[in-house]
Amino acid sequence: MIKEDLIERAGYMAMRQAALHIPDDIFDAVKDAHQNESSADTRRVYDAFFEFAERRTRAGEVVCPDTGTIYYYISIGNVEIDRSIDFWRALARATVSLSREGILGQKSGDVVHHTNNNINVGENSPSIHYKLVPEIDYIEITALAKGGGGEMPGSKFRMLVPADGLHGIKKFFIDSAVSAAKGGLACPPTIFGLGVGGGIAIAASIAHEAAVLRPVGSRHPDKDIAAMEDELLEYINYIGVGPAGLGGHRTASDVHIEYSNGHMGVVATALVAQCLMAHRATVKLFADGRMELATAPEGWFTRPWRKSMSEVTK
Amino acid sequence: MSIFGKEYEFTTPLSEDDVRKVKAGDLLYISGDIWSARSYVLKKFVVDREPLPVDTKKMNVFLTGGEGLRPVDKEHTCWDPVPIGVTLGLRFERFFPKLIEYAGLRCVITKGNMGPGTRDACVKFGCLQLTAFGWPVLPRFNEVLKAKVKDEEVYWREAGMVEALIVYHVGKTGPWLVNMDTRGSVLFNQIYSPVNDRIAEVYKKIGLPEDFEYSSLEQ
Repeated sequence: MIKEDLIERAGYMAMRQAALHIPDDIFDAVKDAHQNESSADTRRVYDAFFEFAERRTRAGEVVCPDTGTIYYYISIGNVEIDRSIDFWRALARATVSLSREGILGQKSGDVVHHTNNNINVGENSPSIHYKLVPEIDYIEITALAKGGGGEMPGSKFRMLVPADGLHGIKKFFIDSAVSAAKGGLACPPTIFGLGVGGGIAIAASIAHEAAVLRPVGSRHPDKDIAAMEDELLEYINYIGVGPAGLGGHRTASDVHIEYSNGHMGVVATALVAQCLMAHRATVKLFADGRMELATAPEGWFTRPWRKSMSEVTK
Repeated sequence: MSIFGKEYEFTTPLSEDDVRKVKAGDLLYISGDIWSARSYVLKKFVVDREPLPVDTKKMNVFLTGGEGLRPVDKEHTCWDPVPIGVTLGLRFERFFPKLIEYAGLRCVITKGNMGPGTRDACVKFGCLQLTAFGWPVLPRFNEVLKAKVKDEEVYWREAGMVEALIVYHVGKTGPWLVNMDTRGSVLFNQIYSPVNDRIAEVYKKIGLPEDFEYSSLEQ
């Protein structure tokens, strides 16, 4: 049976990995961008990046110190767990340990009272998101330490209406993504997550999940949406704000879109950026206490409606 | 043509002559004493007009960094900076023109571009706005610190170590890329001169009507 101490250890393992290692899918995308970059200036900047990342990783230091806002995404599979587990307490303990070790920065504080206890825990921090996923036989914890570049200049929301059309949604994406990337603010090459529909809460959270939980190269199962992901990726890279905002052909590593049915008058539209350092990592925790790092969360985008739609509409 | 220009090495305090010869696109290495702060300190200084506890005539290079400090010993006599990376400058745009004027700064180092207020202050008072060469963490900083941060040189720490005013003694930090120079040139604006035309092309591809405006729900 999984108990609270195991949740703390799995959370610690995931967040430590998130802080210290750039995820493989993102690092590979940056390497690919480097090889395909035609601008000599931009190649020079990439050279400096790889030299730096290697030096920092070898020293066991965070590659980027902006570990920002602390999130955990948890998919609870079909596994026996102690019902008295306090997930917040377990993951807050993991967060405090990593903060005291200096692996997490001291970035998450109280923005209303403008105070900071330097250990990243407090009102709704860490922020924890859950799903019950009967298809998997483990608990999957994805840790995310999200830097300010993706959150502040890189995240936008607009309430559109059907009269604004599909081109209104695409314009929102282009304008917002260009603004996020200029000056290198969202640290491009960026993964952009676009969330459409439902309402403000739904659009913002699915945009966030699209940016931070889906790996580079993944495509939405709906072929129209997948085509729009390719289309918007092509546009943003054509516009040429470029890596670090210095001009060039790879402003985005990828574009991911998630959408939601909802009130037919409400075209809530949100964009969230994930920076190239992308502090995210996933750990699978099995019933016997075994823990395993995974390259990307597998138990989050289960889309039960795609499986059970015909059954519920019979 | 390369966007990168000449390389310069300066030691603090920088003179007005030093910075007036530098152009947008040049790369700077800076040695000496540098200070960092964020909104908490800038508001206290620029808005509340509380005198700074450091002499910015001697220490006239400012960094928006400060990613926090880790204690080196149990008594907290000195601190190791968490690896420095400059932070987004635009969120301090409200403070920067007055910061440059009141503190007599010659360089402000931030992530990304700044607004017209900072550009004008750079021209008027002889200051440069620098950004990282590439991503904010790339310029050497921690590696070239001459000493740990002394506890007595961490000021106004009530809002946490990330927001505190911190003094660093550095040897040859850089490369820092000059975005705004003292003639009013802005590197990022030069780089983005083709961007607006390309955006217009993309608007056409998505079938956006030329007179498109979003439906307004405000009243």
